[in-house]
Amino acid sequence: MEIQILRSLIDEYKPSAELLAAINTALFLKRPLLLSGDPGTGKTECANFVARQLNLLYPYVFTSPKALRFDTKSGSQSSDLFYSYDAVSHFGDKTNRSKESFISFNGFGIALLGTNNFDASLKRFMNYEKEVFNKNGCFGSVVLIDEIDKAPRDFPNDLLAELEKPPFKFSIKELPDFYVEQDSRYPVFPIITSNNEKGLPDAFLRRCVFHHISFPNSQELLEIIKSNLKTDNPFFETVITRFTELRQMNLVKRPATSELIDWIACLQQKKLLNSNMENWKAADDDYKIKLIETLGIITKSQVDFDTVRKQIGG
Amino acid sequence: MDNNFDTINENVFNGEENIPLQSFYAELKENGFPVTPLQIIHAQKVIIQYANWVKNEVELCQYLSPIFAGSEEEQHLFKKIFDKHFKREIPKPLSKQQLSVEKKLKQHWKKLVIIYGAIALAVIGVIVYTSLQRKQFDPAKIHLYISNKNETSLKAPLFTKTNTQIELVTICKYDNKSDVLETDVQYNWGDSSITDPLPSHIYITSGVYKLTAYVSVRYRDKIIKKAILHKTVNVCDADNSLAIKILSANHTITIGEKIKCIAITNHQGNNSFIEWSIDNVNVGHRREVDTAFLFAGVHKILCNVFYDSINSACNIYKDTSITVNDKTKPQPVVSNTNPQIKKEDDTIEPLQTPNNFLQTLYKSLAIIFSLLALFFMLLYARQLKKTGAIKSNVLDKYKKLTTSFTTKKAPAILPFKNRNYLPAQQSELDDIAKLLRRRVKDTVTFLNIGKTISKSIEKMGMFTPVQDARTRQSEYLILIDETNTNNQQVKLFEYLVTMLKKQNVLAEVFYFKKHPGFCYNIHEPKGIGLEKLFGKYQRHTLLIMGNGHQLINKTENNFDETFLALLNRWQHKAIVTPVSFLDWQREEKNILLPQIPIVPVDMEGLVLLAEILTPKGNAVDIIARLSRNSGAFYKVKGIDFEQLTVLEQYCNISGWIRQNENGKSINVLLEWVLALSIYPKLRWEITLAIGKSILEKYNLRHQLNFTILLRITRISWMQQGFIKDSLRFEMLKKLSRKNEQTARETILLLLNEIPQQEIESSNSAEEKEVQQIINEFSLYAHDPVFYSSYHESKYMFEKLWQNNQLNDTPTESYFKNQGRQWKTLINQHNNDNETPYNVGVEEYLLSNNREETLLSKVYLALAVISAVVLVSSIAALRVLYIWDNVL
Repeated sequence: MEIQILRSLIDEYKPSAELLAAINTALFLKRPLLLSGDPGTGKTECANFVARQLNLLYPYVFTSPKALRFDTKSGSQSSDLFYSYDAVSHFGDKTNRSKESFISFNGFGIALLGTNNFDASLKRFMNYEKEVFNKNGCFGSVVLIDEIDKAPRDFPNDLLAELEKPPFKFSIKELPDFYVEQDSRYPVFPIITSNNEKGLPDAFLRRCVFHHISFPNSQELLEIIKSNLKTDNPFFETVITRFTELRQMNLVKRPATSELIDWIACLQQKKLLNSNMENWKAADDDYKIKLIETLGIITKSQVDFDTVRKQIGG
Repeated sequence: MDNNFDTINENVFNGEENIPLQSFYAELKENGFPVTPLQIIHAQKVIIQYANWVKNEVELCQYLSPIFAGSEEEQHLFKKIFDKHFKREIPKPLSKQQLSVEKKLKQHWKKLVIIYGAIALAVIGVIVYTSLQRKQFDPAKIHLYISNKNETSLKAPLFTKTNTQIELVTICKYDNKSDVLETDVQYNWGDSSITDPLPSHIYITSGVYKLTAYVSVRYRDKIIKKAILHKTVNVCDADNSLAIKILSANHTITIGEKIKCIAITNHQGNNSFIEWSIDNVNVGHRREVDTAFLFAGVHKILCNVFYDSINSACNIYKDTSITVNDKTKPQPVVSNTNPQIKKEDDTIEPLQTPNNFLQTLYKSLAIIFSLLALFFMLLYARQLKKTGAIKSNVLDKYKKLTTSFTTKKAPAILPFKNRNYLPAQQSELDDIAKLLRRRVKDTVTFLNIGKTISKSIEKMGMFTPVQDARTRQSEYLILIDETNTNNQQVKLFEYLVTMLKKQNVLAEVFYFKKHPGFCYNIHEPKGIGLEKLFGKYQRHTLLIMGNGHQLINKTENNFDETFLALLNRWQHKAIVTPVSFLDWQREEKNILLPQIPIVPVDMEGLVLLAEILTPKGNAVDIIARLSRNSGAFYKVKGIDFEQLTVLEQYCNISGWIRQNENGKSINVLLEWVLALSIYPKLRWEITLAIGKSILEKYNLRHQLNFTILLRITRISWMQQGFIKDSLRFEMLKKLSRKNEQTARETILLLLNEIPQQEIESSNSAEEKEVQQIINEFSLYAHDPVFYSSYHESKYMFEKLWQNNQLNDTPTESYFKNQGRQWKTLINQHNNDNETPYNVGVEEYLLSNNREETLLSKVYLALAVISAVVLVSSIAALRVLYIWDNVL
């Protein structure tokens, strides 16, 4: 079965045509999709979007509308993708519990176990029953490996072997007999995000389907805002214009889409979305003060805050 | 889309390509994409899978880009290469046809004007000739008649009675029209009276007289015809008269219908004799005759009445004509009460259309030439508008540019796009990277659970933790010597590091000026001391990329103790020097080498570096190893690169000589180096891009690699970061025109890649604009048709040139080319001669300005010529009208 999302069904996430093509290419080639882009451009949310779409399109295969998530940490190792073994707790255990009860499955491990039939013997593992058994049957998954650039440099290289080609498999080195292989009828689609793809090894990059999410244009932003806030306002376009102008200023950290959504929500709540938005400088002092109070959402440093405040004329 | 697939398939079947899109993949590879077989397989699979889904190239690009791109830059680059490969960009402002028309017009304008003028002249000639023809009265068309004033018959003899005054009229008709011309008549009445101009006379004696009239025909006091008319005058004593009466039953006379002709005379005597003839056939001698007509048409009826004899002066005759109709055919409406009976004299032939042909001709000419005049006027207006719009646009731009010259802005370096993907990968670098990636034991340890349990069991349950050292990939701290601003060797080191990083070598780069005690990079812009650096990167291998001479204590002529103590904190360290091994002196051999391993940055040196950084590396005898490969090194020290001949010698290495189209040998490396003089600053990105363009021309693309770049950056002025004006001037003169053209095109491409918003607030915006103007102007001056889109830059250049605002002395001197001493791209295109010739810029601008207005002048001339023909045609029509209607 070829899994693909040729057209995006109604969803609050609005992928660009390029991103949708990249998702399809990755799904078709059964390769991990590596997404890069500035923070706030919707990399993480993209994984949930894919999960939702696949759940709508193939509900008997992808039973969950949420992506399984693995948050990369600075000390992550490739095995962490599948499971964690709490050796210290095990060492200090006085009740003589089995080793399995100290092993919990992580995102990719759950995804692979989910493709196989329920195995009662695995209930001994810490979270198997909750994460797999309760799902009521086999399932395919979207697995999000978030912010891979946080991990040590060896991590992506180790992933090369793990994510080389489906069927994916894993073993637990602490349990020599344990081995799980993905049932190919249930696809597992890894989506990896990175804020800085430059730090990733070339070999790793070449094995992934890559897409850099650029900052959306005004029209796309408007769609995203409407979709996320589930409302429309004639001043959305004006705010987007002001926001785009701010992004073009020499800011230390340029605000991204997620900040814009939060900012507009805040402006709406404070009733600041009105004609004053068209010309900040000409607005009355009361409006300016209220507006400046919201700047914390889109500026992340004092320098940026002062720069934007000056622009408003406060 | 389908077309592309067709082409692809066709190529595959023809055996020209082994795999579809092969040429595209090759282009990707040339631009630094790895393009692995797996990626190609993936691409083919995607194409097959989505062939029916994608609608156009844009969508195909969206599907393929994620397979090949591995970064944001590559994503953009992929799109660009894809667009270029499938030719979606059509930047030409003018169509080829338009260009060739303009070019041809400029080249052959004289011929065109002459030919068009000649045609117009010929047309005017025809008009004048035909008009003049009309003005001259054709004597053959002048018909003169003399008749009795009371008589209407023009042909019959005149009759009068003795002692009765006969009054004559002279009728002059031109083309059947009367009252056009005037006549002067002298009458000789045929009796003994004198010739006189009086048109009346009294004959005394009866008889037949021969009247002679001397007629002069005048038109506006000019005699246009003289004629002598003879007329017989029958003078009779009796007052004879004759009238013909025709009786018919019907209003119209038809074929076969009987009519009665009656001769009515006033003669009472019996000595008269009547003779009727119809259509010259005698039909009877009685006073009344009946007749019928067998044919339709006009029939002439003549009645002669003879008295006494056939020569009697009293004989009288009358003629008339009647129209006989055919019953079977529709009859014209006749308004006359007795229309079928007409006297011959009154018969006026139907009015002919006055020279329809000429009227049509003149009208056609007027229409054609009015359209042509309008067309040329439109072209003239468009040309004026075009040049006017360009000039005003240029003026605005020029004002903006010169205003920004005087505005104080932050100095900035023009941000050319990084082109470190351009050089060809050398296999040695793969090996070096592999060695540099080796894993080493880390100082960090971890509790090995398995071993700990085993050990604890071994120790009879006594907890015995076992620690194991983690292994990690080797990491490098690279300090690059940036003492000389714009030292191109720094860029070479950066390129080397980029290549190694691409091969997964872990490296952190810092820079230093003057000495490595204080370093900086983008994350540490304020700088960091070597000691602190050690604290952060102590596990790293330290590599100093520079000649290391700053580490030498010049006064004591030994390794600076302070630096040595600091550097010795790193377990593994080395100096990578740009100094060629053959140039190594005491500094390298006796001062640096004994303390820290030092290798030249040549490929052989880097291979050795990877080796000496291994645990057994200390045992390597660097000098001995390098000496064994001394053939791979070359001497640089002492070479005076300011001398063009010396530079030529330095570039003269085997494999770089190629034949140009004229069969002349050309040193490609020298051409590449010379082309660097076009841009006023030495820029690494330009060096690479120009190298790529020139080498590709000579099929030497693979030679754009680290080794040759090292050779180029070893040129003294590449390290100094600038070329002296005098040398630049000489280099510009020496560079071949073809390669100058290529280099200027390449520079323009690089300049156009820079987003304007990135440089708006800095002074590099002016640098970009001025360089764009200079290069676009050079190319336009070289081939104004091919580079017609750079037309505007000619005006901008002219403005800058006139106001001495180019700020580039060598280029100015080179362009000036007084006395045409050398060849430049600035060509003078002689309109009459296809081959352009080289001129100095001032001469070019002067003549080009003339040429600029040429087209509008040509259009105006053609419009004027057309207007003249138009006026002539209208005048001729007017003349025709006057002749046909007024006269």
